[in-house]
Amino acid sequence: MIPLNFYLFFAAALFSIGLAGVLIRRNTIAVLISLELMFNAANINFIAFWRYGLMPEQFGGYLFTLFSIAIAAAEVAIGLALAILIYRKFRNIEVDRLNDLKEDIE
Amino acid sequence: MPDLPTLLFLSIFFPTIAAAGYAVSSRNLVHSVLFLVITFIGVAMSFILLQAEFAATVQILIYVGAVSVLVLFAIMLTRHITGILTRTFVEKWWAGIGIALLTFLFLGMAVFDDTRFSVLPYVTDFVGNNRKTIEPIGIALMTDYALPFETLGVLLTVALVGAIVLTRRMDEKETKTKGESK
Repeated sequence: MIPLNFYLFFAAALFSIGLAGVLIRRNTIAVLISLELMFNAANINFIAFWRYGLMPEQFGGYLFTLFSIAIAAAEVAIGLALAILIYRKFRNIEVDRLNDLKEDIE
Repeated sequence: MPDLPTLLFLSIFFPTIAAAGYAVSSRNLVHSVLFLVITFIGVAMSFILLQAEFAATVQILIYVGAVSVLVLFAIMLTRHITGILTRTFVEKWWAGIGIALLTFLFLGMAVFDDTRFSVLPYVTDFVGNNRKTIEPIGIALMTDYALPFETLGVLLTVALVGAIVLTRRMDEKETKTKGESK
């Protein structure tokens, strides 16, 4: 039987890859893609702890995963709408060039 | 020699991690999305290994079916990002990689060596002998979790309306000025 550690390690690896993507990518859409990886890692943890937990008949972690997937879908819809909006305004969706506020202050 | 579930898990683990690594490092965003789909499918397969079939179905329906198509459309609607880019990563990318590696070391050591996790039970028959999961989930969603469920419906509606309102072009103004100039 697979020990719980394997799933947790899987989720930790996915989460770290997503975190690296969020930190190093310049494109807003690529950052959103990496965010989705981190969401998935959290969902794996929820499902794994539900399955290996003390009360699997209560479906707490399972239902949390379903809610989290739906909220991620809403987040992606809004995030991509904002990306398109920013692209229309600045002709550019690279995260480190969107510093209009900063330049206005200086 | 590991047993069959462990072999299955490893055969999911390595392709999924490799696909995730390619998805965050590819210069071509369309390739990123395609490898992201592979990662989503791998996560869904691990849900199936955990006997959460409904979550796996939802994962494939929403992530593979909806989210990836949405991301592809956003890529096509914004210019400059299909094909080869000169600068894909931020200048201090090594710092980001370092932070992610530290996080991974921290999390990995925390979960891998801890015996509290390895002794947690794996309950084979957790809802009687027939292992039904979808029916109790439906009942829980309609009874104990009815309020979060309804709130989620409202949230999704607001998000969809918000996305449409945000990306809508101001057509009236544009057509008016065009008509006047002509």
